[in-house]
Amino acid sequence: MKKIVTFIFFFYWSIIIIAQTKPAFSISGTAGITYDGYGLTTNPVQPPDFYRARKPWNIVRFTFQPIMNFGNFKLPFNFNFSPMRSNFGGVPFGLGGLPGFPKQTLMQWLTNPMNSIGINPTYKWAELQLGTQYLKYSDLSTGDIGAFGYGFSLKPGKYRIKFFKGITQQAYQSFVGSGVTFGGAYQRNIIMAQIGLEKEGKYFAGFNVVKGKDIFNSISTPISVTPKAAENLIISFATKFTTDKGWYGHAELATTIYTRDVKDLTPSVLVKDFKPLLNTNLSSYRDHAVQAGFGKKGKDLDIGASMKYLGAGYNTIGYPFVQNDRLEYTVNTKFNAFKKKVNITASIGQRFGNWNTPANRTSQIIANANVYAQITDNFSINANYNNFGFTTPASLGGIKNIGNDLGINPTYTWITNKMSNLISLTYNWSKYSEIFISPPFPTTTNNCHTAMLLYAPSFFSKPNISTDFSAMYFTNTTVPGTTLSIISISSSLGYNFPKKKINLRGQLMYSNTTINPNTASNNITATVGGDYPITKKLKWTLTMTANFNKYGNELMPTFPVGANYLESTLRTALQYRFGK
Amino acid sequence: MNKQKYYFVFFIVFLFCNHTLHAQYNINLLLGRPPQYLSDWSKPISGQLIINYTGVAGNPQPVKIFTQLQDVSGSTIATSNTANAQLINTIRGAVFVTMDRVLQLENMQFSGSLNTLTTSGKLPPGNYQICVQLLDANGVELTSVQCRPFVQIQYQLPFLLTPNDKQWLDANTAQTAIIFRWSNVTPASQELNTYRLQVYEVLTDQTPMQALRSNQPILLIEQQKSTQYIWRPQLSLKDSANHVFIWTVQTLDREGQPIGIADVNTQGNSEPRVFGICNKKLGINTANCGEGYIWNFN
Repeated sequence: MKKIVTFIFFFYWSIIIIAQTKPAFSISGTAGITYDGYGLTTNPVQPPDFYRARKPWNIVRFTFQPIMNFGNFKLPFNFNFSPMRSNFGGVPFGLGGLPGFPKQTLMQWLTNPMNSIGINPTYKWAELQLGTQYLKYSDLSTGDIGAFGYGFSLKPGKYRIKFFKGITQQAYQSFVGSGVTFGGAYQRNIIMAQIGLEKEGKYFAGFNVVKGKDIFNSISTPISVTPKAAENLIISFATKFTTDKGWYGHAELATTIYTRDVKDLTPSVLVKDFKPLLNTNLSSYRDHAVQAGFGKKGKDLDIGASMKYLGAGYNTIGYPFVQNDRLEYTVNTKFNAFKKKVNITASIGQRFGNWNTPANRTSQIIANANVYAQITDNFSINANYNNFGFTTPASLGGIKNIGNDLGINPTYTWITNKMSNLISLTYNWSKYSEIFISPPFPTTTNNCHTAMLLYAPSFFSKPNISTDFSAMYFTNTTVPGTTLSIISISSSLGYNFPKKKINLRGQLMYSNTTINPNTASNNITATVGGDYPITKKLKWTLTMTANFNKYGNELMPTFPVGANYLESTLRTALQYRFGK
Repeated sequence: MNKQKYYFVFFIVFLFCNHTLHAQYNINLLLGRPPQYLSDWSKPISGQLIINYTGVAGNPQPVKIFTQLQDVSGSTIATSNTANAQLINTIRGAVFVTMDRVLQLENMQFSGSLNTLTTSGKLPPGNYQICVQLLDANGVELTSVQCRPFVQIQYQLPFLLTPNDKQWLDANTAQTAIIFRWSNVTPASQELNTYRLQVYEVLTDQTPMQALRSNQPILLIEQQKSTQYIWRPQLSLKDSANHVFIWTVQTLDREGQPIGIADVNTQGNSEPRVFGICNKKLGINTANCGEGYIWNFN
């Protein structure tokens, strides 16, 4: 009831504001529909499977994103939705299509991450946030997960006041059948608030409070594998600044209390309550996180450094994937030399895992460098180097993962009376070793070379044609193991009809792949597509791809020599542009 | 003299009764695979304590459990407070007690490891021993001490190494092969871990996390032990659209179940990373690929 009253209040408030604004009206933004079709034919017919369908057979997605302006009042819509669901990486983890699995309810559809249904009426410094919102108050608090609910963002002068309450995950009931046991997922609610001071582009300082909670009663029939309902509170202080001279900096300090089981009634003797926001229990723990960075951006020189520490118990419902118990730092730079003809970008950093258990610390060094040099008007060269070394101590099994990548890409262009020509060579060498300090596993080394030659001519008499041809050789030798070799040739062609503003394009690629000691498999991928402006505001795009792959004997003896598949994809979209 | 006899007989009877009572109980601590979070020890996988009472049938007999946690050197790191221990009613036959009631986390007095327990809900990784003894309601010993060793493992999921986060790959080479690399799960296990590599295409108007949570993976492949996979995308990546992908690795144990970490909703997936396909013409500074692109990620 409270929610309804709150919603009605905000709705009326919006209407009143609309009524008070000037009648000047304008509209911008887009609306459209996209269809993705997918087909797969295999020989021999599946099952048993040797190639997995990698897209849904059909996906229709609608977008409706107009921005209406009534003087100082702005009404942006952000509707993206699809009647289909896949949800492999989120609940119900790809089980939605199983026979007997309950169909998606309206609330599940509304809160499905596939769909965004959001409206953000804005009047000067006041913004209402209704429906699906992707709000990121700060790096350590709210994360990248969207929520469906209501809230506001107020920016009077230098003050910042924000609030949002919503659902980040809809409940799914437990399910047993079709060979799977799914424990269900709780409805997960989130409440977040921010209060702070900001001058756009100059500074910000503010506090964030975020509370997430699983609603225990949202799973009506828990089973043995049903997870426990969790609760999480994060309080953080975040600040950042930028000066006119190019100095910049940011920092955030955060503390979290995480309760793994909200139904545990035994009070915690270790972690105090944080009333009125959270009562702890026996399953609660508390930890901290900090991140900071600073640097200077100049005309020809950028330099910066950053660090991040996440305690072993730093869990956040707003971004549950975060890997905690780590410390990392990075130093990066970017500079120009020789009258900006040489650009260098480089960074080096280190990341430690299991930071709070010194004997078990893992260590990773990450270093990257990229050099671009425009040697003459016709000749340029790009070189890059990446290195990482990941070390696991002997107490955890003792493994070293070491990677070194070196790439070089010279490009030469020349012009004749009739045409311009571009030739580009790319060479990459990549070595990756996995060294087991302790038996019984052997050290594995991957040695990989890639060489690609590309030629792109442009004809002055045919300016509406664009084309290129490329050939590539790729080989990866795994010791102990096999050698994978790929030879691929490719050509693309583009043509535009200037009067009708139609663009057509196509690409043909052939690959021959050998995995020793098997015979080669062959692959042809053909793509055609184009875009056509039906009217000044309505545009139609179409892309079709056919991919045929015929295996050698690598699938023997389960599947015969020459087993093959034909995969077809079609993506077409109609997009309407609002406004002039 | 008569009085002394009386005391002697009483003493003998007391000893006999005590011995009889002692003999009427035996315990069997069956330890399974205790979860890393001590608050999760109520799960059946943790194991259980079986109390067998062979005394006379009748009123339930209340007993207490005295529990000790010891580290690998045998030093005590936590002891239960006998005075406040929960009473468990035993009747003739077997009583099964879940491991959370045996551990009595709410009633433990820690002499060490308190900090990690407070901050992470877990003991530091290592080898431990849990010892239990049955007491009567007054604290009198009913059984001898029984100890069982257990290992506290804290898994660290693989870090995703290549492609780097927010890296732009050249479309001409990426359409033939893209190399994925990640670190091993730690601690390294003698068991065969399975890594399930997942790559999701970020569709127009989607954020990477939306794609990960809602799409079907365009690549889903299982690797055993190996931490590298060469993907042959067989996709047309050279058109003008921004092709952006988000990828992660799910780590499964020998039973095919996701390795347990803090939030079950992550299903043992590593912290994801994103990468894009650079469609700019060759000959430009590849460090400028994707310049101005807003990732909406991290």
